[in-house]
Amino acid sequence: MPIASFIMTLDRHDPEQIIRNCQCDSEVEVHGLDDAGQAVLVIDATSSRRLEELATRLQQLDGVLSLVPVYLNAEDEIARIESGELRPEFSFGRKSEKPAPLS
Amino acid sequence: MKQQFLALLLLALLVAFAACSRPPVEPSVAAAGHPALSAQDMLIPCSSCHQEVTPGVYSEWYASTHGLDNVKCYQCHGTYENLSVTPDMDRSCGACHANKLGDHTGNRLCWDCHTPHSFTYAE
Amino acid sequence: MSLSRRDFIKRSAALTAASYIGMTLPGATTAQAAEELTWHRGSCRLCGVGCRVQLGVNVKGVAVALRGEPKSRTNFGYLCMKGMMFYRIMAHPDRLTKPLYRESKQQPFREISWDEALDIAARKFAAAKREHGPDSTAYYGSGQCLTEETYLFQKIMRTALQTNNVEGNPRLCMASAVGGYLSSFGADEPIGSYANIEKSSCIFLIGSNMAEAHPVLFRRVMRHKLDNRDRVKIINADPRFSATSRIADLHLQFKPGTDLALLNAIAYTIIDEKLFDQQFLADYATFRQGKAEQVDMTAYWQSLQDYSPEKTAAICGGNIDAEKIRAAARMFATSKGSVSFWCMGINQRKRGVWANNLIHNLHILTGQLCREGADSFSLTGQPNACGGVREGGGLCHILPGHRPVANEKLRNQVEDAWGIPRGRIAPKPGAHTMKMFQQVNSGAIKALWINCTSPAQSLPNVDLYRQGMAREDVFIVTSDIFPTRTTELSNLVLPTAFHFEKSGVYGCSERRSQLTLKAVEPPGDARPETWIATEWCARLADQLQDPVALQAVKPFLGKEMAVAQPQAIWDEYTQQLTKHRDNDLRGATYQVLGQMADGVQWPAPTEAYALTGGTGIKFVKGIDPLASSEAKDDKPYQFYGPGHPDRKLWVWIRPQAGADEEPDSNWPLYLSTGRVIDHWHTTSMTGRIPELMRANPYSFVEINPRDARQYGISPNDMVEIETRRGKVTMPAKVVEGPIVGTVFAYWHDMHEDRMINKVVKDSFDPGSKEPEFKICACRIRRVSGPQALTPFVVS
Repeated sequence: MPIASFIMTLDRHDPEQIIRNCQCDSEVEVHGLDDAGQAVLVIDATSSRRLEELATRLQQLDGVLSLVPVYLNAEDEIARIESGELRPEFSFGRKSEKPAPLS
Repeated sequence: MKQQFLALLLLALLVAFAACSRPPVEPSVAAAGHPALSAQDMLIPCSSCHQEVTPGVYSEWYASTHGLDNVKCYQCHGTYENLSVTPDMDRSCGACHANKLGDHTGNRLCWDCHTPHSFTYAE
Repeated sequence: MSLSRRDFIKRSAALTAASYIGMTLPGATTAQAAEELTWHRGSCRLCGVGCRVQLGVNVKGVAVALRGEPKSRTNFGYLCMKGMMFYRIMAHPDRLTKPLYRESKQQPFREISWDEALDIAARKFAAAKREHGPDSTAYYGSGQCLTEETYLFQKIMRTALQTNNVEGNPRLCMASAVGGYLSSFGADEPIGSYANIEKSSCIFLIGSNMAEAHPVLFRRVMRHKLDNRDRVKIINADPRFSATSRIADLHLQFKPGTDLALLNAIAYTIIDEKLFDQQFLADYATFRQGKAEQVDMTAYWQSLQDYSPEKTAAICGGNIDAEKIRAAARMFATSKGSVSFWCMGINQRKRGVWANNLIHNLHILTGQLCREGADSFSLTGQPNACGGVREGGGLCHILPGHRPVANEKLRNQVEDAWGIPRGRIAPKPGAHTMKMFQQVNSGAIKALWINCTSPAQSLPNVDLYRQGMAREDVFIVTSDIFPTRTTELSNLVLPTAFHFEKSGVYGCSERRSQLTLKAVEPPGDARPETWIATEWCARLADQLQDPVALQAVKPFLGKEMAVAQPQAIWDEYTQQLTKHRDNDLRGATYQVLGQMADGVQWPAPTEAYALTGGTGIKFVKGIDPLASSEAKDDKPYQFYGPGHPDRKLWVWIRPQAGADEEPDSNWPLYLSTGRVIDHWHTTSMTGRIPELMRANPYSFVEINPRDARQYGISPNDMVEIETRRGKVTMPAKVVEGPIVGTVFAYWHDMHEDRMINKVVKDSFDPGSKEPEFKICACRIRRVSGPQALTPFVVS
């Protein structure tokens, strides 16, 4: 269950409305908004996939100029990957050869 | 698409981690743009390839106090799985120079003043 | 307000983002968010430098970060790669977490309870004592055990089992340094401190690759040199050009085994050119030869006539000429302060004690001692070889507080302190390490406890001794944190708590004792050794039906094992047994050590004095409290050490002595062994950290390009190294490192094909009994081109 924070840059026209739109999903929390139109958002999602969906939706909202991820904590997921319970969907292009076992 | 997003997210984090207090997740080697390595390749010290592919960086490091004192590539940049081009200041610099983070740096990054790899003391 | 973990992470996430754009969020400050970790101060687990670290433990009680302690006077916050990463093995899945037992070494292990394990250990040791006598039992410990552990085990062996068969791996690394300090200065351990580095003008490094083996201390040497390029001179004497040599003004590359001649030649020049300190010699020195027969300076000068620079250059070979020897002598003698550092290159020699004496000679002749920037300093390989084994009675011939076991008066002092009848401690020293394992081979030793070390990999000529350890009639207990080559030959394997999972003191190379308190729970059923030893001894006393045996652990039985038990052991040791000894540690209580960022240097007789940090330079009135309280005259230096009744420093006549096994036509090359920065000893720990294993995945043999050409060897070719004892095969590094005619192999690898100690010779120094790991004769041949190899640790 990853938690991530983002810096969102908003169109200055009506930032409060944009923030209200952001908060349609209960997983999205807005922690602050400054005069320069920058907001701090935290997403507490059920999975990386859900995190990605939410971030994509937020990016497409009217008035959102940019959404930059800053912090990601996925310790629960990592623990599940480490224990073998979860197999991550993504790969980062390593050669298929497995790393040499250390024993 | 999913992969792309995650890769992008991690890439962004890579840069962000430079000043982030304690990254919970290590960025991956692919995100750092390193070519894929075979299991045997992974057992070659970073410096033996980088002596050839980035000779400038290598010689700056080798002649530096870090080079003299054997502070090797992986101490700041991690190893294959947790490689980061831009080290996390807290974990790499901070391990030895904990007292220099904080007041000494203010909001700046170590390498704003100290040239990366040669890291001259007096800068 | 207490936050749930998820809330906390969210808060951290938000604060991190806010800090990027300079936004202030209501509620917690950034500082609060950063305090996710609790930082616990302690010592580094590896090497003898004694770096202080802070271990970061998260809210779940897991060690997740480590940083240097900036207030420490050993490392000033700096760490090496091993030190930075050692904590990561704490949660390694290979950790031993249950006692394991097998009746026969052919059987697989089965998990048993602590009750069963301790009963078995007690029964076997009691039976050995009853049936074969006290000396059929033995303890083989480690310079990595806490002082409390070494002290307690030797107390049990001496009190309950009545044997002096107490040894440890420091015999393999610093016994010659002990012999050198005792015979030259009359007192073990260095006179000065690391702080002399920054005050010195000349640093003489011989037989030490400090840059890799003691990197954080080397940083201080390097920094001092770089900050004072013209004023500070570095001399590096070594048959191998190493990472250490890079900062040297003068590199003296000599043929292996000619170090004694070289040191005598420097002394020759010092006298020949009248660079010695006449007044210092008159006040504080005498000259000795043989078994301490006193001679005069003329006889000494006479003995040096074989070592004129010209004659010696011919002996030493390499790049040495007479002018280089003279230049080194002048740099050393005329500098405002000269410090020598050496390590295994000097100690692991057939005449290691003599080599130590000859370094000390240079300092005594020139008066380069007892003042700022001047010292003769033996580096230690392990974090507690000095504090635990040398001071705590961890060798077969010494009792705690630097007391020779053969001395009845001193034995009685120990017996009185322990509340056991006089005469209980056997008067005869036990078997030193090599003899102990010879007795394992012969079957004379029936029950052996090995703690925190792996002799099945670290002994020289190791295959010979593995045969003995494999005997079915030798019962072996091994207490450790990971499977090793030694657990493979054990009947009983006991899982121990690691550093920071228990409490205790480490004493580093500069007489500095530093406390590490428990910060993390040990995994599974792993327990601190002090608890294991206490419970074992109680059962042993039961088996032996001997109330005196129980006396060894009575004061500690039933105490809380995390802190109270080790503290009670430390208190007994320091308050009862270091009182009025040269390593007086009475002021260094847990309370005081707990307050100090970097511990206390002995002598430190009172708490008030210990709180100042202790004694930086021994024997100097006004600095060392014992120099005043033990003073016999009004001279500023008082050499009160227990070894020299005349209270003088002794300049020794010691002739050149080569290696026990020199090359010949069949075995034409020298083989030397050593370390790399990324690994520690047998790699049971560092081999489990991917970064470190990657950096040096297996042993290499370094071959000089000229030799490589002669043998048709290219980089990474597989090369067989053969000696009279066997063969190993490893990839080649062709490098201008070792002198022509010498190959140099890394000793860490535990793979059967690459374990270099299988071929190293097991001859040892007749005085210190330390083996000559550094030199033997070998031949090499190219086996094949490069091969894909796999890093290996026993699991």
